[in-house]
Amino acid sequence: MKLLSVIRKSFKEQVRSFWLLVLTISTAPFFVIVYYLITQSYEVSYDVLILNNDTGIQSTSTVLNHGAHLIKAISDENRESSLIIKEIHSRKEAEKKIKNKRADVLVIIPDNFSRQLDATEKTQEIHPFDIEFVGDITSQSYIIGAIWIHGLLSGYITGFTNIGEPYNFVETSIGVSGKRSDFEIAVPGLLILSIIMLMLSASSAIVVEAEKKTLVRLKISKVTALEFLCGVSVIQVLIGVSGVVLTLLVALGFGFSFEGSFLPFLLIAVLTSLSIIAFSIIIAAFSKSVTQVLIAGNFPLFLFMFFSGVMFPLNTGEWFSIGDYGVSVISLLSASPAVSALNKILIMQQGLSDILPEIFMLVLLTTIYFFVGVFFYRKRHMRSE
Amino acid sequence: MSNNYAIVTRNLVKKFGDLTAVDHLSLEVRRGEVFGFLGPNGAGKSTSINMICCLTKPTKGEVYINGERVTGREKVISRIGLCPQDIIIWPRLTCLEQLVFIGEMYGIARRTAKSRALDLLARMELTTKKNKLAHTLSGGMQRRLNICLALVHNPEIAVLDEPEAGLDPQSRIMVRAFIKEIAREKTVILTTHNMDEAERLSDRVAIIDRGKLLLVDSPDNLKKSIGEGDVLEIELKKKNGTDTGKAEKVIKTLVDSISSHGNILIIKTKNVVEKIQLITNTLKKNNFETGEIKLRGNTLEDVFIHLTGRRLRE
Repeated sequence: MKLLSVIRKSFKEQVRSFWLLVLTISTAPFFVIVYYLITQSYEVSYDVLILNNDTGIQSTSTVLNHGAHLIKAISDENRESSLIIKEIHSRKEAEKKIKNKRADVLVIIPDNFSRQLDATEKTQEIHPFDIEFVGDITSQSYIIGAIWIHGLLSGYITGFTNIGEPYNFVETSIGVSGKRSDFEIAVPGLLILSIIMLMLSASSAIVVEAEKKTLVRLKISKVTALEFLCGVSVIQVLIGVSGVVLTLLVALGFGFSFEGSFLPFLLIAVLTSLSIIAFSIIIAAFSKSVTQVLIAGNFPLFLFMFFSGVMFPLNTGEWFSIGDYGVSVISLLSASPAVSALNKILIMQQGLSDILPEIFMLVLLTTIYFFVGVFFYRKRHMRSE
Repeated sequence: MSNNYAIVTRNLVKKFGDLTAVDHLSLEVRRGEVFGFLGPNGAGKSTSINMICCLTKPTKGEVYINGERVTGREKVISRIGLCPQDIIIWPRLTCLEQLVFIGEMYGIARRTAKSRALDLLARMELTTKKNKLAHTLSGGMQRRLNICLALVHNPEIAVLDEPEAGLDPQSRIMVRAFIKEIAREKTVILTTHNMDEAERLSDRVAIIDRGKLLLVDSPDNLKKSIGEGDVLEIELKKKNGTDTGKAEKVIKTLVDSISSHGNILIIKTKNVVEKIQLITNTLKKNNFETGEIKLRGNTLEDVFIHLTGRRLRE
């Protein structure tokens, strides 16, 4: 009865604070748009410089230079890819470009390249030679560029010498990961982000009663802290789920393809909203005004955003595992199992049974957050001073 | 504890660090009376009220409601209706919505809460505003709504903290009539700075200062017994020259205090009415001709100032 009344009141107040509501649920969709524009405008490329020192070999009337052939072959093959291959004639100049981040990898083809390759092909025995890779080995672009060009070099050499690797390299993409763009891979994290953004507005919705002193009226009535907080939370969960759905719609509009099943997705959205709102109660318990929420709430907000694996993956030491979900320090933030579950649903096309460990973690964390929040809220706001 | 009392406090003490906001306050509020609770700013009125309503924990002492010792908020929840000094309303709810909401928070059925809300709105002349959002109301209307919010659960005791603050004279008269009306069926505790309001409404008043109870009595008894008394102003006619100094001397022994301003004698004494004839006869005997005579009774404000002093507290 009282719970229903609090829900009704919260709903009316929320709807009547129209612009605040619009801003709350449109922040994450806006973030999706911005992220989409960033991924579209930012073309990733790996600049590889090749210094061809190959002197070649005499073949009938002409000089055969395998180094030059190699450069032409891999340049033609990768015209459409983000590997940009350029020939350079000075090592010094190449190293200068790498130092200035104008190139990522320098490949030096040795002077005996054609000779050794030719001998290998004729004798079918390996005649080794050195191919030197030069670059900033701490740079991710160097690592990717070097791996890529290594594959192309191997392809050219085995193609010419007919001496292949003792294995066939077969790559199989899990779920729909092979078909996903950078933008699409980020969508599960962005969906969870849309719920995390609810943290400050939910805390504000709770703490505003203390700030406006209307809590005094509730304190001297029969409503309990639990009833009041549950009532406010119901509306905030609805806002959270609306925010996720809106974010998903915007992502779909920008080319995201929803491949998983909707019900597990909705379940994770509801559970994550509940956990974030439960955490908001803890923030509200320690704040006396909306201003305090906005200042103090930033710290947990950033923790949830940047240290839960939502924005980028984090590697932390695993404590133990629940099913196949590894629990580590970041699992204490509910966004972490949430984003793991959404990745499984949306990228790996897994079902409800596969995300049970994440669901368990979400329920556990939500319960802990909620009861800690209610305990402190009651202690700090609802008791006699 | 006698059941004739709606509220009794025994040696109620509240300390905030080194500051003793309420210092051994012992009060007895009778059932069905309007009990005025007066004191300068910072005297400890609101802290006392908050302790009675269980919003603040006493450092020491006891509170009894209807003879029953209050140990937790649940014992006072339904019995007391608090109208706080600040206007505390939900700005984005309509008048009716918030009255029904708070009624439901007291466990009243929605239908009952609605009917009580409509009744209160009618008595406070807010019926036409029932569907208006509270933040759109004028300050006076919000103040009236503030009072309604304290009464929707039909408490036995209404604690009204400065209910007339910020009201225009018309609204003040209406609220005063409303308080008189509810006083027929409820015990009312009224805290106010408005002495006129307290005098008109209260059966008894308590004056508190620096956390200590100074006096409790009816306004009439207080006026009779406390202060410099009534003020009598006598105009001396300028026949044969007016020597107010001489006039002061001849009646000095008859009154508590005398002074003059121009040709007017200002006399302060208790029960002045009984002494008027004696004073005028004495003046006549001494060849003073009197003109206009003005009498101003001792007010509750005079009593209040006499007890609490003129010095500003904040």
